[in-house]
Amino acid sequence: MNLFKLFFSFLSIGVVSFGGGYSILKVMMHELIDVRGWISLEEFLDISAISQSTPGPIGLNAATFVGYKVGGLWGSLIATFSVVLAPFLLSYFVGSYIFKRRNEGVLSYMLIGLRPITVALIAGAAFTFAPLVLKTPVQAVIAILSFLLLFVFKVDPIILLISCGLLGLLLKL
Amino acid sequence: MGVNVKSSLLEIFLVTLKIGGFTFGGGWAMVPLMRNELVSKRGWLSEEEFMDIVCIAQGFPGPIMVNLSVMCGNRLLGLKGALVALLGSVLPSLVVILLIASALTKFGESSYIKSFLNGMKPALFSVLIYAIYRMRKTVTGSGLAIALALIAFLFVSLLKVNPFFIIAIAALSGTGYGLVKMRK
Repeated sequence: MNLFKLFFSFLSIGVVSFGGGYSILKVMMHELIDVRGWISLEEFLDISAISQSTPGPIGLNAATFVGYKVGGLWGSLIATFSVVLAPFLLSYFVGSYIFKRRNEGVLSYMLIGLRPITVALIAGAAFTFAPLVLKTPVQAVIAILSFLLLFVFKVDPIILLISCGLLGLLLKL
Repeated sequence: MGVNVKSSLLEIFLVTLKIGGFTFGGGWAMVPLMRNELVSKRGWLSEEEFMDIVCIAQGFPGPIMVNLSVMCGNRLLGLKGALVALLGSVLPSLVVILLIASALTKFGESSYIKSFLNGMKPALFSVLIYAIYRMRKTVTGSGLAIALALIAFLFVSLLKVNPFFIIAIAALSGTGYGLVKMRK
């Protein structure tokens, strides 16, 4: 019974969570606290803090966590897979349709409009880290070294990220 | 350009698993990692194909990482590829969060995690800037494109507008422009 509610709740969250990460959290907050009353605001803030410091998309992490709180192991599985169900179907059917015809007619113009936006959104993600890099000298040095390693030595970004994380541990940043 | 190198289901699973497991700091941070794995390292997709997949995937609801993985998996090996990519990208967060939730540890407040993330974030900044540099050719075709990118950046980063609105406006105005131009 509760699992059914969980399924439809997270299915609808998946449908309306446009715009990535934090917008999903906003939708979830409304649905899970105000509409369903499954968790308290405090619990939700804990969950979003944890979601931000664990790997994986924030919205997905939060879904797994809330699912577990509401319905244990099954709850977490249902919440996780129902929240990605609509995105999966859209990406699979609509996404592949657009991709196949992306060089034809009106869709090619749509992509011309979208490409600069994509670069801007990646720049936006970089921008969120800018204060950190500009304010603290150690982190500025890490950023500059990372630039060098990427541009000159073509280091694998995942290896770079893990190494810098370990460096952070070592220096107790 | 078509697919240059053949991929296998297992490889797609492992690549998405790896990216799912090492993506900290929000969905957009994983785009450069995915680009490096699929375009630079493995040559499964061309730079243009990957860019277009990102453009389309960002317009759908849900985590960008899931949409992007599913579209790449589908492009490489059809429905099977899409399903395996979905599983791979979801599994790491599912397992990690389940461990945390069941152990009820205050993982998020651990000082070790904080130090790790503080070391990683500046590197992530560089990784993102590097990705923009690598993707520049797909955009710098015209002054208009650069202007659009700058305006979008302003709205999303400084004015904190939901990226979806920017994406929708860009898609609609591109489509509208195309319709007008094709009628002539």
